[in-house]
Amino acid sequence: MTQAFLLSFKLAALTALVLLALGVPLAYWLAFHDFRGRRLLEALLLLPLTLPPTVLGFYLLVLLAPDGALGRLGLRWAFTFPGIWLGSVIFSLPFALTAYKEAFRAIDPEVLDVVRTLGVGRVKRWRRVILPWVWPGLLSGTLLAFAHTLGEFGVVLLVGGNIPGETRVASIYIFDLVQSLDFASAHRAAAVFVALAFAMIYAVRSLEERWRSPTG
Amino acid sequence: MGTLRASLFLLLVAGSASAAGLRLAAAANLNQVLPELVSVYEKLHPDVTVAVSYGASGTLSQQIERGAPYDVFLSASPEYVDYLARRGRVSARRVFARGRLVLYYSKRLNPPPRDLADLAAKKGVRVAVANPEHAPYGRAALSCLRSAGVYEELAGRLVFAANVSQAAQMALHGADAALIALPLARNPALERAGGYLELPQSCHQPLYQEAAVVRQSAAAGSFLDFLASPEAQRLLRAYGYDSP
Repeated sequence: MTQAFLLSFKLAALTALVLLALGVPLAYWLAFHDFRGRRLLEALLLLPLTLPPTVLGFYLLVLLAPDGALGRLGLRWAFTFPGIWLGSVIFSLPFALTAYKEAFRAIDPEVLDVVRTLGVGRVKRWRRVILPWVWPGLLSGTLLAFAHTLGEFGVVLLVGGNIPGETRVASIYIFDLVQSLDFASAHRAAAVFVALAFAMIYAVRSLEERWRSPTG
Repeated sequence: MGTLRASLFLLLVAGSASAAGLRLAAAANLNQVLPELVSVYEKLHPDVTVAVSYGASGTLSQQIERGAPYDVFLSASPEYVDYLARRGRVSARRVFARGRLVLYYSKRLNPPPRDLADLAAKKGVRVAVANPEHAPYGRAALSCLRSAGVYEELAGRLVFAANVSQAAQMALHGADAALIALPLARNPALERAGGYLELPQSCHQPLYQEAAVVRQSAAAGSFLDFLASPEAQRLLRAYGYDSP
């Protein structure tokens, strides 16, 4: 059980980190810039929200197989940890991106204008004005991506299979226990999951309230 | 940013390379006996750590074809080993046991069915079977339903599971009966909730369990030898397998 949960945490942490690094600049850009094809790009980035995990998993599997388009470039990631990590990044991107964008949109543009006319430099503007404003939103988006990755199942099962220590994350582990008729262990792992998921969502909600409240 | 990406990449690569040992891809019907076989094997070979993934034989052979990092494949049918052999994916292979198919029924069915025809005559009965497209036990199940002449009658009431172990689980949670492997029907949870009838072995193709080396190593070879050893054979018989 420990191995599966640790693997889940590793996957979720690496996914959330990459989403933070890529998603924040992307969300900032989408929040404050208008350009041709913006709606198209946004729809594409939000696509995993409505796509069945099996569709995403199937495409990734085809691409990452040894004879797949990416596999031939050396990314032979089918049934490996990097494979489920890539799947998780794509699958959780809409959650992180939406939260980040909301956070940036909450900034009063007039305040930014005033700060700019006062001649405050870009770095200082970020450190003193933007980040203090948006950090709860960024943190809640990242936590949400982390939690969503923990709860992921379909993409991981298709791309990663069920390999102990490599792709058998906690959700797959429980699936495996149920299939192996080991209901006592399944109950234990499921209870841990409920506690974890609750703590995570509670943290996200608390952050959201802090970020929405005028004094926050 | 560059260093962050580089270190992330290293973390990922390290994560995938650190897991060592012997990786088995095993047919789902073996999930009752294999944990015990593995613990005996690990006692004999303390330097090897074994990790097992279960699934339908067809599913696992597809995963192996797509490069899944398994060392040994334990198939519920030589057919899937043949499939991989034609693609040059296996080296050594060995049939190590023969499985038995049973009709498991829940206590909810009262009186219990006497045979397949009796089962089909019960109104609204739902029967779980493994998906015959990729599970040998599923194929054997349909073959027995056909030879008993009840397939047409039951066709609309069959529930298909991803593999034979899931079919057993469905018989516990919802379905009234299942055609499954004998060791699964003897699982304590299933025994408490119902009973089983052995089906004649003549109604389906023999369920030969075959092991094949996918990635050659000393450990992989020794595991195949171990399966043929008297101790492993004794365990397999105790769980309800026949010697090949």
